[in-house]
Amino acid sequence: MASICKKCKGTLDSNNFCPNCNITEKAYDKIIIASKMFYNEGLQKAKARDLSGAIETLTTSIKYDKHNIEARNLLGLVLFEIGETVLALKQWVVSQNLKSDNNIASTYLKKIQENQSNLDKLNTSIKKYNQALSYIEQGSSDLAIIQLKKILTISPSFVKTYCLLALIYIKDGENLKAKKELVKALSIDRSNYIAQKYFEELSELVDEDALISPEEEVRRERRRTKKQVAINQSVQQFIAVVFGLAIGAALIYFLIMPNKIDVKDGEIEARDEQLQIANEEINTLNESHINNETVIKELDLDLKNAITENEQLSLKDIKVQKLMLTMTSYLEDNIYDAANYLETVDVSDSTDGVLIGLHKQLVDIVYVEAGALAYNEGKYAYDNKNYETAKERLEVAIKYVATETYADNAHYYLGRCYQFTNQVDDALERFKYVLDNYPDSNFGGYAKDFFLYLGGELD
Amino acid sequence: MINFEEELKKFKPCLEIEDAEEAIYAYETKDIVDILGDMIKEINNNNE
Repeated sequence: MASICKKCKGTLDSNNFCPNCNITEKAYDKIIIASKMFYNEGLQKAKARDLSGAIETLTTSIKYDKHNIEARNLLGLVLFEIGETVLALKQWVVSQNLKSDNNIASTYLKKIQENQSNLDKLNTSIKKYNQALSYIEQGSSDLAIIQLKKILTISPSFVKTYCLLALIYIKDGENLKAKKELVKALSIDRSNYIAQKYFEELSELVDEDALISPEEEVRRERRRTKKQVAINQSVQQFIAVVFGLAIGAALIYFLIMPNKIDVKDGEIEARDEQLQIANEEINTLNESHINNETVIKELDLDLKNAITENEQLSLKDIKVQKLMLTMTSYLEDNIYDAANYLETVDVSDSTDGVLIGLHKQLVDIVYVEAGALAYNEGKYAYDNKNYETAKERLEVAIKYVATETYADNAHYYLGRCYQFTNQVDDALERFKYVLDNYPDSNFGGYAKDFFLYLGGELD
Repeated sequence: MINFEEELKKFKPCLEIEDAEEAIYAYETKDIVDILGDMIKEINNNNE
């Protein structure tokens, strides 16, 4: 029986040579094996965050065998991770065309196309990047920097942006800023050629930094509890203004409130004296026609009201103190302490507009940052399979990030942590939470799959 | 030493989503087997 060519399904001759493909079966098998070897190597590199290396190796893999669907899909994923959205889409579309059934590329494309707001964000990042390049060509570095920083708040893994930003800083002589951007780039793609090259150049310029390799910088960066979700300059200015107003308001409280307490203390003393006088009158007058009981009762009531007011002022004093501690902790970069202090302040029963407004402003700033920090730390721990730490951090994150764009991510990864630590009920609860509260989530499909896998039943 | 102008040339504009369709259509999906086959066909044609 004649053999069939594995590539074109044509008939091989007696020497197992395909006249259509002009290749023997043996040679073709070797090419397929080579493609798979490159794929395995690319996969290892991707897992080790050597994304540039992975791209190179996976590209070679599909050059050997264009039908290596896994290599092509993974290549798309890696390209997507570094912000090359269109290149990623290209690979997934080709993959889908080569194999339409049971192909995860279809899932990736569907997720991107279904979430229009995310797609718009990705496109905005690309447009801003191109705009930044135009600004640089026109000599407007400042405008370029603004555009690039905006990109990083939308697409924090867009590696080219960090490199371009670093280049501008190097040109302007701001080597330390340049280095920080390069460290961030290398934490996403540790073998990025441009980032490594610039980093080495900067290390030559600053002697003590020459002792620190990019890998060590990246490790130090990850060890420090730095904020990875960028807060753009206008928000930082807003925070400074808010704190200025808040400190002013708090100072006013500390100046006014002691006076109020003193006044109330004075009132209590006055009431005490009046009560005493009334009692003396009762003793001396004996069968007086004055309604002494009524007078005493009224005074007693006044005294009680004055004591109650004094207690309430003390409570308010405590709340303001805690808000002050929140601000102090925040300014000292102790974000978690700031959030913890803030959690203990309950203004739901307060009628003081200034106190309520101050509390809200601090919630908007501190909770957002604490949530972002906890999420980044939790995600890092998750990526390193440190599930207990990841759980602890992500549980903190979901307290604070209910309305943030990555809230669904936090719940999803927490569910996965529960899954890996055999807390099945908690995992089911998290995945269900994602499905119920974030219907447009990119993790919706995965959450649903794991939910069903763990035995959950959908409505 | 980093030459800003030289380095800047390495940063090419990114394709936007609107350009994706054109980029996909223009993409060459040939692998090494296709290229070898084309080379051999060309050699055979030349020999004829």
